[in-house]
Amino acid sequence: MKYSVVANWADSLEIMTKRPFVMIPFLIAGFLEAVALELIYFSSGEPLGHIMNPIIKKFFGEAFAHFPGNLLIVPKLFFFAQVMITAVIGMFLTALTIYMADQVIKRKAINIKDALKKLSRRYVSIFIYAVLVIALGYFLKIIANIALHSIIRPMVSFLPRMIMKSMTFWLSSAIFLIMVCVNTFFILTIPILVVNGSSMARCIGESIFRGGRNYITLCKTVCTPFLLYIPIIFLKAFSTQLVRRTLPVSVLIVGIAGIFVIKYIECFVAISATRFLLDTQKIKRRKRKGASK
Amino acid sequence: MRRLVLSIIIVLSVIFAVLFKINMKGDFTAEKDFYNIKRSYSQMPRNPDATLVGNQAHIEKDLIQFIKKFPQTIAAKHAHLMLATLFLEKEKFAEAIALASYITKKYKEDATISSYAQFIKAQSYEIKKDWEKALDEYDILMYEYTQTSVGAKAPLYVARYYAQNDMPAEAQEAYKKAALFYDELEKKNRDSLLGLLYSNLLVATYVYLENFEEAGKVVEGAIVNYAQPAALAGLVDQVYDIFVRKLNRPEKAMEIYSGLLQKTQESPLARHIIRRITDLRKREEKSNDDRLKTDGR
Repeated sequence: MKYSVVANWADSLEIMTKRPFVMIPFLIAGFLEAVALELIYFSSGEPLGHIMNPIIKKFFGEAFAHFPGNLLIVPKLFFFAQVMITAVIGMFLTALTIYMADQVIKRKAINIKDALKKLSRRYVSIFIYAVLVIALGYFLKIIANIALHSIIRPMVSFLPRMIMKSMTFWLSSAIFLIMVCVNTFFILTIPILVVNGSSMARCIGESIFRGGRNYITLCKTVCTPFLLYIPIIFLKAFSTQLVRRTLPVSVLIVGIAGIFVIKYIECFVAISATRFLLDTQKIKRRKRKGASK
Repeated sequence: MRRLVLSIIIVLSVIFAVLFKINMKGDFTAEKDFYNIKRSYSQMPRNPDATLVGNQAHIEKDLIQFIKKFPQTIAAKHAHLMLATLFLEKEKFAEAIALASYITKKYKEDATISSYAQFIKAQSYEIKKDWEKALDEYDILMYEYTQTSVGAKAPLYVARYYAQNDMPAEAQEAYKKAALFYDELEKKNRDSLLGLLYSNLLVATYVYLENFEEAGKVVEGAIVNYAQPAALAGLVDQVYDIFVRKLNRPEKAMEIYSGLLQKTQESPLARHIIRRITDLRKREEKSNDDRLKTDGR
């Protein structure tokens, strides 16, 4: 029986609209990232400049401690902040959303205290998993960058001028989609951890196995929603021009909008992945029952 | 849920407002505002006849307002300097001189800013055709701001003035004085970036004096004394200009390049030197071919 991706999306969207509290953990993570972004935007000024300016001058150079150089390193600094937030609390909050979604789908009552107790016991595993995923994403980005540049370089003289001008956008989008496609193998790790309660190593193994086995379906379920993030990638790729034509604060506005868009998509994808896991487990149980009869 | 979203929006707005308010009078906002003024200034065409008078007046007004709003910031120093430059461009010499004097007094700890202000003052007198007063100001620039780039170039600038204004005797005298000045300073500041600056200016002075042999000796000395890759990159080009183009001694240039190549393998500098060596070999082959053709005839 073919798995209906559209039905999965419809159910996930229904959960998010009818039980919006499932989005609260992602909202908290988004809020923390937005605060980090605002602090980074003002990192060259008072009072953060006293701490940040020596660090920026040491690692990036004098020019980046002043306007407009400081705006150019906002994405880099924000990346480090995002990594810290994801590792320390972001992945934990994702697990909390998946727990709540799992309870909603199974029509059970949600006890936040129990959820926090249960997930806190697995905090170290979740933290290690977050670090592994971040490291994998980082190295994948480097490899994808090198691979794409080596493909594009020989074609530079043949590419139309329009494409060349917007090359940053095309490269960023391509790298983003490659990372999302690879992430498909790991997307079920936290749902398996929350639903089955297995060890982290087993969860990762099972996620890779299921991801490989149902790659096309899972990729469609997971990757397609991320296409909604492409307009934000477009704005970020042209942020220098945006700053020149509008105000410097537009970098901050695009950044914060991007945070909440990606958090919404990630929440949707997390719930879709959980739904997928539960549906496939149900189908497996039915097959077993049918076979035993 | 709606309350939570609203709370998040309010908290983020409050954080932004607080940080914005703290930085309103600080360097952070000053740099931003000054950047906008700098952009307008750089986009202004240089030919005042083609510029709307309003453009320059607008920038002047913006700079004055900026200085009033952010008097104690670092950007204020640069704003003062830009305003003095603007006065000079508009031929408001009295204002340029007064403001330049004010800058040299107010920012006397910042030698770079003060040296530029001093230069503007001297140039104002020069353009006004009051060369005696201009020379006094250039002398102050030369002796009090020797360790700045502008101050260091003052003797050469004065010599060039004489050369360009049909005063060959004064030009020769000034070039010789500049050569002695740079030689002394280079010896005092050897092994430092300043020493390299004085060495380069000494080479330029000898080139203007058409004393290419001395220029060559200075370049050879600089290669020994300033062995950092960043310094050597410029010296490689100087070797080509002096020994190949002026003295027509490509074998000497080749000898120097071969020596340098042994010290700088596998680096961008080595690739630059190899390019120069390839150039010299092509020149040699071309001159051999030309000689053969002439002998053949």
